[in-house]
Amino acid sequence: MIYVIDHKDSFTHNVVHQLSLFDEVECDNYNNVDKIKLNKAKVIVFSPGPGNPKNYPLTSKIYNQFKGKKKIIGICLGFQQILFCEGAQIVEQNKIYHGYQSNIKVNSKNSLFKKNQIFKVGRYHSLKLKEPFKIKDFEITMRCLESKVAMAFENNKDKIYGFQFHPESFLTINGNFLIKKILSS
Amino acid sequence: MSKENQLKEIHASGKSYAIYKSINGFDLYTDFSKKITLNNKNVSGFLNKKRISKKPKKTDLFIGFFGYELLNNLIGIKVPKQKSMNFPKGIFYKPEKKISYSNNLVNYKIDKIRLKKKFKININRKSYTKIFDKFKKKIKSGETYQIKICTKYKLKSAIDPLDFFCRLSKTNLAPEAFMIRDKDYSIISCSPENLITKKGSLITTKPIAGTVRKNKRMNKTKALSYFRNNLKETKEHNMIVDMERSDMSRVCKVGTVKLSKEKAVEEYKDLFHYVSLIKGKIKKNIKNIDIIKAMMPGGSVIGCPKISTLNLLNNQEKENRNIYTGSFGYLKFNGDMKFNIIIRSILNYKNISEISVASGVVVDSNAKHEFSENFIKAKALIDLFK
Repeated sequence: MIYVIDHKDSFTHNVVHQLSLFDEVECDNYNNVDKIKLNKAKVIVFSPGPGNPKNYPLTSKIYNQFKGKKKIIGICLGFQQILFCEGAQIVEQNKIYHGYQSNIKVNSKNSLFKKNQIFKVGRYHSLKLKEPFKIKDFEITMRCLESKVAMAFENNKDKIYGFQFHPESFLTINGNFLIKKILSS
Repeated sequence: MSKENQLKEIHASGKSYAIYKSINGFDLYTDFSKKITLNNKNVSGFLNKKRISKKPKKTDLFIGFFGYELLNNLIGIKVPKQKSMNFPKGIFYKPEKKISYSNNLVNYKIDKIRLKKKFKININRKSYTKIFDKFKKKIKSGETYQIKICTKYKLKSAIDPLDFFCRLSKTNLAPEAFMIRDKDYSIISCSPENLITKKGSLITTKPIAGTVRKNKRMNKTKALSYFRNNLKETKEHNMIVDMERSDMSRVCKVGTVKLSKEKAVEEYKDLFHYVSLIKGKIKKNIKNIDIIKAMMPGGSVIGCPKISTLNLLNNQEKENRNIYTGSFGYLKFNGDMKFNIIIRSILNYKNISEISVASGVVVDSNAKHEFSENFIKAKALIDLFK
C-alpha cells in the first residue's frame, strides 16, 4: 500500500489517481495521519502543497522516523520537505513557475533514468533548493534545461526520491513512466 | 395562452419563479410547493435526503443556490465575522410547473426609470493595490499560486428582474444564465461557467480561464493564437485544469478522469473564452454531497490551491460575498444534477443591488490592469441600470 500524506493541496488527488494505477493507495491530511496506515504502508508519499517545508513539522517527523525503513517519495513541496529535513535550504526564486511546462534533462549516470534523456514536465513552485547542495547518498539527477534548477533527486541507497515538478500534471508527458520507474526501483 | 404571455402573467402576479438557460433556450420553474432556506446546520440533511417519486415528472427536482459562505462551511473552512446584510446562505425551491422556452424568451419592456445615483465600489484602487501587493508576496512565498481579489459594487435601487434578465440575455446570451424572482430578493445572472453536470455516473466540469474581447480584428482563430501565445493566460489556465482534475479525482474512478477538450476557444456574443472540458465516472458509493464538497466552491474563480487560498481570501475580505462564487442549479430526485458558478450576477435584496467581480493575481499580473479588468467585468451589468 502507498500512503499519501496530503498537505491540503489542489493537486494531491491527481497524485493519488496516478499512484492508484500501480498499487492500492490511502491518503490523509498531514495533520490527521493514521499510525496504523503509516506502519502498514510500503511507500510513503509527501504530496505537493502551499507554503514552506518549515510549516510542516509533522511531515518532517514522519520522514525522520521512516527514513531508510520505507521507500519515501516527495513531490514538489514533498521534494523540498525531504531536502529540508536533510539540512538543505529552500529559498524563493526570482522567476516563479506556476502552470509552466519545461524541458528537463537527466544529468547523472547513477540515475534510474537514462543520462541525457529529456522530459517535458509541468511545474508549480515558488521555492527551490538552494545550491550548492551536498548531502551523503543524495544526488540531483534532473535539472531544468533552461534555468538549471534542481528538478529531481535520488537516494538509491535508502530508496528516497523527489520530483520538484509534477509527474501527475496533464502538462507532464510520460508522467506514469516516471512514477512507475521509481515505484519499481 | 401563449408561453410568452404566461411568463408575463406569472411575473405580474408576484409569484416566485426561476429561469435557467437550457441547451436550446430557457426553462422556467414556478408554482413552488416548498422553499428551503439553507443554513450550516440543515444543508447536509437537505443534500443527503433520498427523494423518490412514484410517477417521474419533469419537476422532480430542487432548484436554487448555495452561497459562498455555506460552501466554505461544508468543507470545514471558517469565514470570520464579516459585514453582512443577512441574506440567506442558500435557498432551494421545489417547483410544480416547468415551461420550456426558445432563446426568444419574451418581449418584455418597461418604462425605464433613470437613476441619477452611481454604484459605489467597496475597495478603491489604492486599497486594491495594497491587497494586490500583499497577495503577490504570498505567491512569492508559495502560500498561493493564484488568487482572485473580489470587489463589490453597490447601489440602492428597486429593479424589475425580468426586464433586466431579458435585456441581459439579448446582449449576452450566456450558457449558464439564470434568474430568480422571489418576494424580497432577485438574482439576474449571465454566468458562462458550468461547474458540475452529472448524468447517471458521468460527470463533467468546464472551467473557463482566459477571456478576450471580440472586435473586428479578433476572430476565433486569432483568439486561439492570442491565448496560446499569452504565457500568463496559459499558465493560469493550466493551473485551473490540474486543480479541477484533482477535485474530480476525489469522487471519480481511477483512470476515468480525462481532459476531453484541452484549451479550446468558445465564442460568445461579445467575447471569447478559453475553456477546457474534463470528464469522469463517479466511484461507487459516492453521494451528491461528496461531489459538492469535492468541487465547490468552484476553483477557477477562487484560485489555487483552493484551501489555503480560501483562507487568505476570507481573512482579507471584510464583506460577505453572499451568492458570489457560490453555485446555482438543480438537484434531480434521480440523482442527476447541474450547477454553475455564480459570477457576473446582480443580487437585489431589500432594494439594494450588488455586483461582485474578481480577477486573478498571478506572479506576473499587474494591479492597475486587474483593477480595470474588474471594472470591465462589472460594466455590462452596471449598464443595465442606465
